[in-house]
Amino acid sequence: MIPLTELIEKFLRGRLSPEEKKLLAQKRKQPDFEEALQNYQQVMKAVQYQGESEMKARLQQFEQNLQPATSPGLQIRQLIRWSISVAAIFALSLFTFFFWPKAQENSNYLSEYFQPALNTYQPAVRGNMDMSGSTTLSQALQAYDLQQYPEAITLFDNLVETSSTSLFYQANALLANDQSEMAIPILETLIQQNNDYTYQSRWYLALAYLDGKAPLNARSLLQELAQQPGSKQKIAEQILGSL
Amino acid sequence: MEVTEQEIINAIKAGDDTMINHLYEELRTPFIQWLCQHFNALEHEAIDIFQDVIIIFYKNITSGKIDSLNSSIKTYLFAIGKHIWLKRFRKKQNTSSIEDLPNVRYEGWDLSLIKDIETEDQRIRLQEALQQLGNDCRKLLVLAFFHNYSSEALQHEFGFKTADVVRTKKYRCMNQLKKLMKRN
Repeated sequence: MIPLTELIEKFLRGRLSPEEKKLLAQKRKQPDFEEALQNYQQVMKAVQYQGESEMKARLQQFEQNLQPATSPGLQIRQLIRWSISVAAIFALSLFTFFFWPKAQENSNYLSEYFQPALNTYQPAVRGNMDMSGSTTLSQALQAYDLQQYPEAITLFDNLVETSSTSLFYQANALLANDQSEMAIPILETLIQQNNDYTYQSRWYLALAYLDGKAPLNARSLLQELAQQPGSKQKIAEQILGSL
Repeated sequence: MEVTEQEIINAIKAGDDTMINHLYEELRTPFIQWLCQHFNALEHEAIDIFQDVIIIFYKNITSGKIDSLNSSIKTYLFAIGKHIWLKRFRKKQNTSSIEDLPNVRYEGWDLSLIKDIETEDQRIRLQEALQQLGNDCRKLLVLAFFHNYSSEALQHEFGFKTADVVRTKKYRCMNQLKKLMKRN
């Protein structure tokens, strides 16, 4: 016997078979049918609400990751700004190497400010299972979501193809696993590309530099973040004030 | 290779969420500029509405209410945006009639979002009940009824042995939620 809830679901989706239609006609005469229907509709509302809220949160996060709108003129300006930043980082690196006092190297900004990025990337195709036995991005992200960072790092390493998404979350897993020195080259690659993660990567790279005892490299990135409206603007100002 | 609009719809229907990101990136700026320019919307209002437009578009595709469009996706999204703006901010609307959109037919479309329909109290009650539900149940119900995953896709997603197990688990979760809603 088909449960009443399932019967109602099929009825509302217009998927009743002729036998089920007859069964529904009988059930509708029973006094508890209306209540069951109302309960079902309430459950659907709750689920729809949850789905909408989750999707909204995902889009808000995606929005935060987006760069400001880019016109051709703006792109050129960004390129110039990026070139200046690279030159500045290089010069500051040299300065840090030769002149930065050792006493400044002990602040633990990573543990204070680092929060692993929320996984806003969804599996590309529902129920995707790689039957070849090779690691998939969703497996790596699953371990990441479960905060199993060492396992996630291995799975990201095993990916046949990398993408800005895999690199971004791999860098986060490395930072979460206290391996900032390994995260730095990945994040440096990401900030040189124009992708969904460029903005956030600047922030994480700044934290990695601070952890890697390169505060002047970090300062340059934090200054960029502090000057640009975005989710990390205030916190970047705050850290700059404490450096 | 250029992806056609029909291919975009088909991909979203098949669960390719990267298409949603692609659409978002592609149409975000023109939409915001358009809504701000023609309806005096503020940027943050336009962004909020654009996100709701994307959600409505997604819901209508995954629920099977639309399989194809008789205009471009951009036209549809802008038309939904206009609908939401007029509904939410009618009082602020003081522009003349906007004739820059062709007639868009959306009979059978669901243009609603639960947050617009429910009162605050009802929404809090629904939300509280859902939060009390276990993570797996909540995820299963959202995937089944919001994202409209098939039984096979759910079976893969959760590693269930058969589609029957999915069915049983789904209705068990619904019953749990019903009980929680009654209790709240």
